[in-house]
Amino acid sequence: MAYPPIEHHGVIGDMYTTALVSTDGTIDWCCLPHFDSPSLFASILDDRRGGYFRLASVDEGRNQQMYLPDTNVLITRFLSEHGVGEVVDFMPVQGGDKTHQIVRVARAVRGRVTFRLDCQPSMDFGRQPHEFVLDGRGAVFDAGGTRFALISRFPLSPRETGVATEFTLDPGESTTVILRQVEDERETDLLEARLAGEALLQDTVRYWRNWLGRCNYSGRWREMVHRSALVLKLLTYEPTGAIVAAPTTSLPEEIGGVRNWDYRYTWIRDASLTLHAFLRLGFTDEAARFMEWLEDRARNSAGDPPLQIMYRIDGGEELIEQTLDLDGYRGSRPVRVGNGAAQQLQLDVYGELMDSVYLYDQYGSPLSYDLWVHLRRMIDWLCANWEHDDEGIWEVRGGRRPFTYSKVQCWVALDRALRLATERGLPLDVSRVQQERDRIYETVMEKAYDRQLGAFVQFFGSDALDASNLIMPLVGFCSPTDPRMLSTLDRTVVELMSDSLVYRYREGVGADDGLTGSEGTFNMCTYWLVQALTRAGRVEEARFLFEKMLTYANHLGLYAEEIGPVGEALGNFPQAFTHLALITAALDLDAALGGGQ
Amino acid sequence: MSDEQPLATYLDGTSAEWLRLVDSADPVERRLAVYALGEIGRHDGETVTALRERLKDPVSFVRVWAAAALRRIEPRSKEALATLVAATRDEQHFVRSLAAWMLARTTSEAAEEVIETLTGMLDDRDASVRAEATAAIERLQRLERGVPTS
Repeated sequence: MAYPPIEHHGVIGDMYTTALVSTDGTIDWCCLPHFDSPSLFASILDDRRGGYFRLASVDEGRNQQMYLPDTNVLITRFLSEHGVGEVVDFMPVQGGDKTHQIVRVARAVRGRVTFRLDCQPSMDFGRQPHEFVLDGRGAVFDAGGTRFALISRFPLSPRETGVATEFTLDPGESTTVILRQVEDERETDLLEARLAGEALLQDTVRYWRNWLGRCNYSGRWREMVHRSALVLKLLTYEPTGAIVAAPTTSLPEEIGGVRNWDYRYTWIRDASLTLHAFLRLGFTDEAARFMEWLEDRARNSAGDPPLQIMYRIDGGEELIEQTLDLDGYRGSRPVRVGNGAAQQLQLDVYGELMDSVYLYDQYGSPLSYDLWVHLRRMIDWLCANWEHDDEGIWEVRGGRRPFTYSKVQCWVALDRALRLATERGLPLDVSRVQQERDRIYETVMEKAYDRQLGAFVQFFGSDALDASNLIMPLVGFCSPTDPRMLSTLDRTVVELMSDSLVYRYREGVGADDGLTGSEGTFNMCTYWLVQALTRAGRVEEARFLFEKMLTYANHLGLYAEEIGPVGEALGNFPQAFTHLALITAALDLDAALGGGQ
Repeated sequence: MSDEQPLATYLDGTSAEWLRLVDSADPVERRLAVYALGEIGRHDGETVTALRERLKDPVSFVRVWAAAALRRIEPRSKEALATLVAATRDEQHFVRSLAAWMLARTTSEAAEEVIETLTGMLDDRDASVRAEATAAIERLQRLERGVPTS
């Protein structure tokens, strides 16, 4: 098997986990039953040992993918001279931690179409051997008590460590294949996959359309905004409301490089910003769920610092990083599970958190006193500790620095606390918090602005630019037309932008990120630039950048974390950061162009 | 179906290799073997004989798949048709459902007997059987009307 481009994938899921489906009909990534479970299919990380599940037409031709409108139901289409076949893929949304399953419906749309199915699971990233048996239902794979059933009407034949079959469908005919967890061998409802599949498809389509129907955005680029909202919803872990940064691990930021990280966890930063996007679109339920998750973290935390920067989706704090014996996507090693950044100090998370809390208090539901007590404890801690160096938003592994972005977000945290206290009448040592907030402001203005460069810099005393400083006008730290901000914008455009795409920073300049190799442009930063330009009144410039950025989405409107030199997707996919930034940029730009929600 | 060119193999297995599995002690293997022979589609004595033998298999779902395979190779096989019709009265609902599906799949013209059998399944006690029979009738009615393929 070859490695398909990262952008040649669609994603399906049920808000417990996801699966990536490539344009050739292969599921090459899936962890079951949860986002951070061991893998079942991971050939995207090792095309020999990772495991895959392919269902596709055998005829050579052209492949396409699309979603059923307003859903996360994916259709892969196979067009050839002999006919047109489709595979409809989805994960039923059932509510509750019921059996998780992948439903694949093959159908002949035009002409007779022969399909081939190849299911080669590889449990736990190839670390857990499995056995399988064939029976009247299909096949049952067993790896030390973890069982999955593949239900197929067409007889399956043993092939290597999995199964295969070929079948021909007449025009208009379809057949359903279901892969699901098996909890009870006596389950008797597995036999009629087709009937069950049709019902599940209707329920799933209805679910997604009902959900998206709550979106209050009807401005420009609505389909892209809606697709991004659907992606963010897919990245939400339904039992707790936690939001993962991406559903994959170790998709590389540089092909063949070492910048390969596990994103299947909840960063306070990413989730807070996602919450922000959900609220702006009117999805208050998702915001409420995440607030509950957050309150649990705050309540259970007595440490110093008060919060970890990231947690497991179930709220667990241990994310021990390990490397796996896998080849890596196109030789990009190491492949990692877990994330060592969990132990870092990243002061900005308190700002992102408090900003979202403030927004939630305004547009969602007033926060409770008990939550306020926890937040106040964090604010107290921040007042005493904001001056510490940290690893910053980019999680550098080359040593802590006084990052500008971190200090700005500390200001945001204290500012939002003051606003909440003032507007809600909540108890707070206002004098102290205000004093520290103002100290942060003056410190940033004094130490983070390089007059010679004419720009805010990456960390105090450096002369390196950092795209994260584009956030300053977006969080109200400074006016979008402040001369310092305008000159920072200009500098950013000159030094960090390439073909309308923005790098986080220039490698080798500024803080040592502790890694070798290079990376692509950072999609979220490009959308932040769009927003900053919009707010600076450079609307046409912003619009051009935005429209150009849209051309870098894949065929389904999905983005990874970064973009490479020839427009290829790099990094984990799809990524929450990028999609939430698209949403907020679109909303701001649409409003500036005379639209409105 | 019978005017299709036979394949050399199914999933890299030749007719000879699949024929060796036809008498397996495992009914799932026998089912796979008869299906493979049907997919290869060679109208030779050995294959036809083996499939006819499986029409009398002690396991009902093997009989259904054997009948379907035989109908691919010999579309006018009365034995195969009779096997499928009999299977529509099997005590197991999934066999009845399978039979309904196969009757439609392996019928190239809307024979009255087939439609009559399927119509009789519309009040089956099992929902999946009724659904399968309904889909089968619709398919055959499209055939009868000469509705072009989508």
